[in-house]
Amino acid sequence: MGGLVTPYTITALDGVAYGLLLFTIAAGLTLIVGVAGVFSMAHGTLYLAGAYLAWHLADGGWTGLALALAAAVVVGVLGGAGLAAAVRPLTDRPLDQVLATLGIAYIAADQFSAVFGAEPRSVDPPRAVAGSISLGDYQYPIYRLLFIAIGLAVVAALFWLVERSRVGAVVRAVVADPGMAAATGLRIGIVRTSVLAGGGALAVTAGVLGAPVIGPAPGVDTTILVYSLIVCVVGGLGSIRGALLAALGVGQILTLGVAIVPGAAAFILAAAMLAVLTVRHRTALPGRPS
Amino acid sequence: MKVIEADEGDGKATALASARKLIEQDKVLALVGGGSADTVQTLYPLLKESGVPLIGTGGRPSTVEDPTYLWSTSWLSQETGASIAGYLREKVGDGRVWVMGPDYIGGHDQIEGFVDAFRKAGGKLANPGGEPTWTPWAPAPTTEFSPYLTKIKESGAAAVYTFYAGASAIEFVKQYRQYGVDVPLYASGFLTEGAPLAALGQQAKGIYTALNYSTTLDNAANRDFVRRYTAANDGKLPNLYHVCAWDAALVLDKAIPEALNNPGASPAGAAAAVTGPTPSGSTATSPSPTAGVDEASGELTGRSLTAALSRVGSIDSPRGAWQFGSQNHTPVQAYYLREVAQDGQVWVNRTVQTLTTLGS
Repeated sequence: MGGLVTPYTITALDGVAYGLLLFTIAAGLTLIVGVAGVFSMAHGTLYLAGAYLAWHLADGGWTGLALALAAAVVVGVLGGAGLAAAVRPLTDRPLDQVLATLGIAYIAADQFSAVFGAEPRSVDPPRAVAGSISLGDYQYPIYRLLFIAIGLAVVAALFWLVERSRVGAVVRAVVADPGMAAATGLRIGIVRTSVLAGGGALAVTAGVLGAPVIGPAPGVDTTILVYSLIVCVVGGLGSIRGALLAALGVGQILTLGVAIVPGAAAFILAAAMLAVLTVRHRTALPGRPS
Repeated sequence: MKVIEADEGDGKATALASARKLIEQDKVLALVGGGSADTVQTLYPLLKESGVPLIGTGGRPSTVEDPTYLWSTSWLSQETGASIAGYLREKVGDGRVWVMGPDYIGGHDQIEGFVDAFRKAGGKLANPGGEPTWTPWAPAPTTEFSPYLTKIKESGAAAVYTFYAGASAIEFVKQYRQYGVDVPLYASGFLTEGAPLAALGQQAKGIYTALNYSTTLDNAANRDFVRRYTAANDGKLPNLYHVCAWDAALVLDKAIPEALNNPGASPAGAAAAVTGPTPSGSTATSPSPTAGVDEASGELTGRSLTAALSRVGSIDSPRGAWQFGSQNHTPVQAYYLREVAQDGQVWVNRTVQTLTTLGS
């Protein structure tokens, strides 16, 4: 085992944990954009709401985490449905939807500061998984290992839901051709609202689970939004597979990338994005809506 | 004395509009505040044009060439690192120090202040290539420090020196512990000030930092200040920003009588104006007021007050007595070595020793 544990494998492992967190956050957004056609600028806000929930309810045990997760589903579904209602009058006006959700994000950010204070907060995972374990000469936080397991479960569940289940078939039909889907009797409005609610629940849940890694603080909503948009755009809108690849890639760039070329740390993410977008533009990857 | 408040906003257009209103409409005698260096930079031409001095209480850009109307009660960013460089050089002996910080202007000022002074004292960096490591600031400040922490373990460094503030500070220290880095951690005091210290608690134990203030400083002015501040703020402890704003009031309290009593002033009631920014949340600095003192009759004008500012002498501050330097108009002040330790139920930056006196 000693030969396997080098600074680079530890860092790569971190990249996987970080990438899976980004996937959990961004998967909801890529469906929201792909299915509902809404570029929700409030996606980071939903993550931050979850992170504050985790902070508020954390009690050092599993009960606090379970309560926070239950609350996250409720808050996420209500938040998503609320966003759907807010942008409904703006259907087919994408720029207006961007502005409306951006406004909602600003108001929410202001409310967070008023309620939770402007100080950054630190969230600890349940005590049982709060420590670190030894990997060779190194220590590694247990919660991150656990998060890799949770992240893989989320990946499996989403893939099954979108690619194997009947619900997924409906969602993919709406992504591929909304007009034809409507003509076959699918109720597009309900599908769109459901996807916003589901994506919202996923984002708030990601906030609860991700809080020990990316904790709640003013501005975190913007950071998360930026990373989510990068993952969605690089992965191809509406594509779960693409989002997974993009999230894992961004995770590795932010960890292994900066370890290998520290001097270019600020530029490699942008350079990698540019490279992917240029190449994909030329080859027009299948599996994304045009 | 009349105090008028106005919003500094994010330091650019809002600050300029507020300052114009205070100077032109309210005819203030002086401005106080400027949480961010941006505000000071933006207001500077207006100060020269109107002859109204700014008592700066926060960020002080190092790029101001002629500080006639700019008097700061804060500090220069390079000083914090410079103050601890000699101490750390002696502490590590022949050992090398790993240095890292965020890749933006404030991070560079803080870190390079340390590196320059440390090299002058004969110290060497443990980083690859002997240069400090910069962590990404765009598109978002990085909170993923594990790539750097594993490298620190490999490097055989005798100590680490760093500067982070706010959320980055919390994540840095948390991960420093989680990844089991056992190299002694030294930092600019902002790593363990206010919110980060409250959030970290036990995890910050034993971190050594340098700063020009600590709530545990043992002097009469500080004991009085801490007691009165906590009594008025639900038991919360004051931080450096509060001290700098308090000192601005002390400065004006001395400068106004000086301007009135020296050359042939007529005693008159002056009015002061304070402008405060609403917390914007996006800046790391805490909100501090921008104030002005109303122009009154007689000899008390912005220009006579500015002239008096150079004669206020020693300010009896909670951080220890200081006076304005003649070159940059920033405090010539003591910097302290502080260690995070528990005091009853709360975690504090316990003062270990005075490091040095800096300022110009």
